[in-house]
Amino acid sequence: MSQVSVLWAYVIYLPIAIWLTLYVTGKLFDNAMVYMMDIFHGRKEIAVATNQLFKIGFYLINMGFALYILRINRDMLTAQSTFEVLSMKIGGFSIYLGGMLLMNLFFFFRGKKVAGRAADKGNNAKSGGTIQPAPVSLPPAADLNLNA
Amino acid sequence: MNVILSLYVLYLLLVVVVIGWTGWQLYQAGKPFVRMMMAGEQHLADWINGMLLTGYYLVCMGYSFMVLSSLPDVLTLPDLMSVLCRWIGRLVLILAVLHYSNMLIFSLWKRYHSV
Repeated sequence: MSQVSVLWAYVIYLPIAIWLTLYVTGKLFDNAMVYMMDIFHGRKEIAVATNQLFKIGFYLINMGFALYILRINRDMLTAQSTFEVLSMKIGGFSIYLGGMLLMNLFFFFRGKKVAGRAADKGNNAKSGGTIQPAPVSLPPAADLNLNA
Repeated sequence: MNVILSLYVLYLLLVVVVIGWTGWQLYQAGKPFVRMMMAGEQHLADWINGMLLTGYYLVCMGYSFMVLSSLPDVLTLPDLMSVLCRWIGRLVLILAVLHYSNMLIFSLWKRYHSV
């Protein structure tokens, strides 16, 4: 079987990985605005800014990972091994992206819950109710709620 | 020789673009946060934000220029591409870690100083 340079595999891999990252990030953070508005009790400026900050973080970590795992430890590939190597890489990267997506969703849910609890606490304090203990050991990403 | 020179040139270009774009985006998105932290003193807040951006540029550019000389030797085009992607990827991952730790510090700050 004739062999081709590994460069072709890179040329195929890079656009697919970058497109996947862009697509997933776009989808995730378009829909995240709803949660952000809830978490920040409708304060739009802060919600948009936080969404943007998380979006940049998500881009950075996934683009960085996609570039970092690009290397294929061979000089030449046949058509068959190109398919094998590339599907391994792209499949692995997709699973990783799915994991990151679910993790982010978890943080959003968590943030919403914490924000709701904080709002309840505020109402209780106003009406002279019992003071609940502050929530401990939160994940860092969910922890940007402002006790309004 | 030519391959490694083009590696250096591409690396420097990409580094400047990546760090510049990220810094500018973070500067824009972080503005409301710093203003909230300084509780209404807007001039001071924007000045601090600008200083943070400058510091970020200095640190990141300094780091990425310093590691330029430790890029491995490359002889072929595929090598160039894999080395370039690996080092840019590493830089971007470092940026991600810095970004997340910054947000963590900020949220902790907010919790203990009750802004």
